[in-house]
Amino acid sequence: MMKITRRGLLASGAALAATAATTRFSLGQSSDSATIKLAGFGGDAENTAITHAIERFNKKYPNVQVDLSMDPISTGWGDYVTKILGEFNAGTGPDVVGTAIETFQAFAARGLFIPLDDYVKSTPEFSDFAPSLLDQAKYKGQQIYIPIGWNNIMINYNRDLFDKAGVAYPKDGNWTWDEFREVARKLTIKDSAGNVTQYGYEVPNQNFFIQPWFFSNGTGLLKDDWSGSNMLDPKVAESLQFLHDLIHVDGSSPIPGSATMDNQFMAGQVAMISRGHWIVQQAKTNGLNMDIANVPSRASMTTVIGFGGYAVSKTAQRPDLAQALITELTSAETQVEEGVGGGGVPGRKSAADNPAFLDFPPSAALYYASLPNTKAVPSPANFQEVEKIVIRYYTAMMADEVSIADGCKQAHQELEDSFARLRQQLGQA
Amino acid sequence: MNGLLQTRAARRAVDWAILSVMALLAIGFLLPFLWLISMSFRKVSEAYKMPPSFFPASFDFTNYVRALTSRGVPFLQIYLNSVEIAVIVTAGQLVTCTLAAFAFARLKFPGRDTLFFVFLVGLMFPAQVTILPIYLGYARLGLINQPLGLALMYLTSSFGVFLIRQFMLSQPKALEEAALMDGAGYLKIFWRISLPQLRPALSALGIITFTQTWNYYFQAKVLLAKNAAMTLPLAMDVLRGYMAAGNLSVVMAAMSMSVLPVILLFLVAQKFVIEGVTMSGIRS
Amino acid sequence: MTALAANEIRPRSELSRAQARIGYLFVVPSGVLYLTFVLAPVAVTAILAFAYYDPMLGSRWVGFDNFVRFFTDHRSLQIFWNTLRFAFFAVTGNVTLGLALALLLNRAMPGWLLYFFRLSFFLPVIIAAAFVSIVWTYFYGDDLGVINYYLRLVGLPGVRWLTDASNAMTSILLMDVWKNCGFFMVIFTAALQGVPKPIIEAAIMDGTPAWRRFFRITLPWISPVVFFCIVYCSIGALQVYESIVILTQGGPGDATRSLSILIVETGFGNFEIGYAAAISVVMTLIILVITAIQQIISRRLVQV
Repeated sequence: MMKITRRGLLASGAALAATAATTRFSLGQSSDSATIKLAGFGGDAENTAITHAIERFNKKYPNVQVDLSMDPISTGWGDYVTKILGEFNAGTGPDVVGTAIETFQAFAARGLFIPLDDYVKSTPEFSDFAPSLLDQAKYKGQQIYIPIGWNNIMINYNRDLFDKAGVAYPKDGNWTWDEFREVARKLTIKDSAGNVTQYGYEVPNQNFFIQPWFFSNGTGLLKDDWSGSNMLDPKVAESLQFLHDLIHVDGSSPIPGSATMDNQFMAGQVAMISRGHWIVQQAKTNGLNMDIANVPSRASMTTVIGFGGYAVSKTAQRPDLAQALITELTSAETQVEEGVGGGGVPGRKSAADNPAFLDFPPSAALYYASLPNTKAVPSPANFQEVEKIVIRYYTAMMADEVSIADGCKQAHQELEDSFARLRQQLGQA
Repeated sequence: MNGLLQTRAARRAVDWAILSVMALLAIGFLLPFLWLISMSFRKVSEAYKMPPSFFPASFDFTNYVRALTSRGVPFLQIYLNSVEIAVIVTAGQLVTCTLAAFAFARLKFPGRDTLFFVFLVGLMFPAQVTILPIYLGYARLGLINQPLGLALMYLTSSFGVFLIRQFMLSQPKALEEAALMDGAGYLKIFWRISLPQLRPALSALGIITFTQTWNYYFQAKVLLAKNAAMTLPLAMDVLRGYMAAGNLSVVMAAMSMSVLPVILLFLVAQKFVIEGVTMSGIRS
Repeated sequence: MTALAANEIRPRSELSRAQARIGYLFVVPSGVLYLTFVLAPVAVTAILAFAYYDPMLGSRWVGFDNFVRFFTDHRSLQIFWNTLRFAFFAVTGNVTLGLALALLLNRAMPGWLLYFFRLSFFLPVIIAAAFVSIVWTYFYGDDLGVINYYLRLVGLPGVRWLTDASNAMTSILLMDVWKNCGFFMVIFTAALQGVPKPIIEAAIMDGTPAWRRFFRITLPWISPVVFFCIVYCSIGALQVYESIVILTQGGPGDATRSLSILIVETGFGNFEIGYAAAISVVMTLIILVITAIQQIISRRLVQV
């Protein structure tokens, strides 16, 4: 079964390749010989797409060996940063590093990568990327990363459960906080003993997933330029209170713990869940009748966006070959394959317009349509620490272990301390 | 005092009471495991149904097939890596730890107790403390992404030395001393007299070391980044999917498969211990 | 420990030289490996505790700054207390239950039953802790959890096993004992094989009650192993990482965070390697003190 799907992917990719090939150089083979170490991340979809990209790359460069290692990022980005930094410290750093925005500054601040401005200029294909993506992949004005796919948090909902409860789908994928709250309440079902057997919503437990609740309220946990805490903004407390009430007043969500409830969503025990496009992969294999909607709005329907990118390391022996590899890794074919497999929304508009990508979920067009309403996940160079502070206080507040007022105050203090240390480390104190 | 019949009845009642308590406890211990196995045979849509059911309704091997055919996880290769590492480490520790333990428990030499204390201190450092310097060293030696590199780290352990030494201390020295009087060398005493007495202890160390090595996760994650070099816990990590959003039933299937050899090994190793029960009646 | 040496008659010098030679020879393989893979890295860590280590941003010596930071951080006390509390109950639970299981299984019963029992109690040890969480978070769930389902079925209120700070540690301990007591059972089972049957049988003939046989004969006989288990379990429990991370990741808030989790989070999560090294040094010293106390007590109690 899986093989057929994969072949299907290849076919749709091949169609695109045919159009792309006309703009590309002829099929001359290079005699370059080298080994390129490539660090990638993601699940099966990315692994498949990257492996195929390398195969295509090797058609042109048969004597270049690409040494791939993949990380599933199962324990967050912090471990990945440490692993990659460790490799560089030991002098065995990869030549091409795939990573996500959360880590962009942490790596770039340490001067690990070379600027790619000239490469981007000389590669016309990159005009296909949403300009905002290329902009956000810069550090101090220089193009350090080449974007791949991105993920914005949407509300994923189980259509069967909506139908069963007689609740209408959000019209055009839009709704307000209050409408959302009402829907979540209606979709929560209890048995005769008072046990919840189906939750309307999962109040998320991860930094990335909770951001829209602040952005859509016209605020954020950090200042807009990511230089310090914004926890004392009353609107932050307001957002937290809203989530808190979903749990403790309405009972439409469990208290967020350490485990995510993706599988319970697939099992129809949670009707709505805040996730990115990667959830589509599972929904497809499990035959879940789901669709997506924009995040509910208060001040606006702004959601959060995170995206991946490739960088070339300073220690790469052959930056030219590394760039050629990135061209293949970010090609339309690779992006279609990743997007259809469910690894994220393709950075290229052309890939996101591919029928195979738009096929599922029914409102898949919303992914790209919502792009203007997105803000990047706040990712300062001390992101790993910021994330831990935020989540620690957030879970305590959601579990009623600390009041929202106190939690915000204490989190603010710790965040400010962390930023002070960061300035010192970067020599800006 | 008591009539013979009465005592026998009372003893039997106690036996039955103990057995039933043990049986209840054992079932309690097995429940999470039963659920794990039955989950590996279920679709996600049925995995979390209430009321919970601890037995598979049908034997649907889809999850197993998916675990075995996942692109990121060359399962057979990974299985072999795990076996290789666990076998080397277990064999290595059985040798190095018993040798050192014999020296610490039975021989006298200057600095012995200090040395032993230094070994004991080694227990106090978690892997998190030692892994970074080891990583940096391994990177220079090209031992990263080599299953052998992980095995090398654990060829001895303070735990093993300490455990075997304590066992030797709890054993009578009479036989060894008699052999010494008869002019036997220490190597012979170690091999012919001490080791056979230690069979239960060695099988305990063997099964524990094998299990621990089989399950190393943190260390393996740091040292073995490439798919082909992975061990089973890392494979399950990959199966868990990007951002841990994957199908957990598939992870459960992989877990059921990965636990099997350890169960077999345990049963074999326990045979030694249980044989030891009957043997110790004859000995001394 | 040294009692062994003191009690014996001093052997002839030739013999003692031979003993020393063999002694060193036997220790060398372990010693070399131990030096390379434990002591050397630990020394590096101890040095790093006095540095800010980040070669790409510029490493530098910071004196005692990392230690000052730890001892002045308002979170440290709670985390330290969590660690001690966990260790105390985990050692008590694991060693006691492990010993009890070994004793109860050290009796005549059909072979298959013995295998079944031992396997049941050892199975949790076999499964990688990192993945046991999938099962236990389901068991401990608030509304969709297995345990609460049965509690409510018999009319009891559900318990917030993991999301309530006052329950979370107990829930973790329960899982930890389930996970690890089989480990100690295996060791105690092996130790019990060394207790000479004739002595026990003689005691039975004398009509000594079971509990007295246990305290007068069995326990003293296996006391070195008991001591080992207590020390080993304490050290392991003071370093507790996995059992907690897989269930609560230290939360809610800091309610279940242990020192090891803090070390991993700062060192591997935030890449503050110097600070993590300093916490490691503090943790090691704490473990050292506790082990030393246990050693002193054991000299009085353990019969060698």
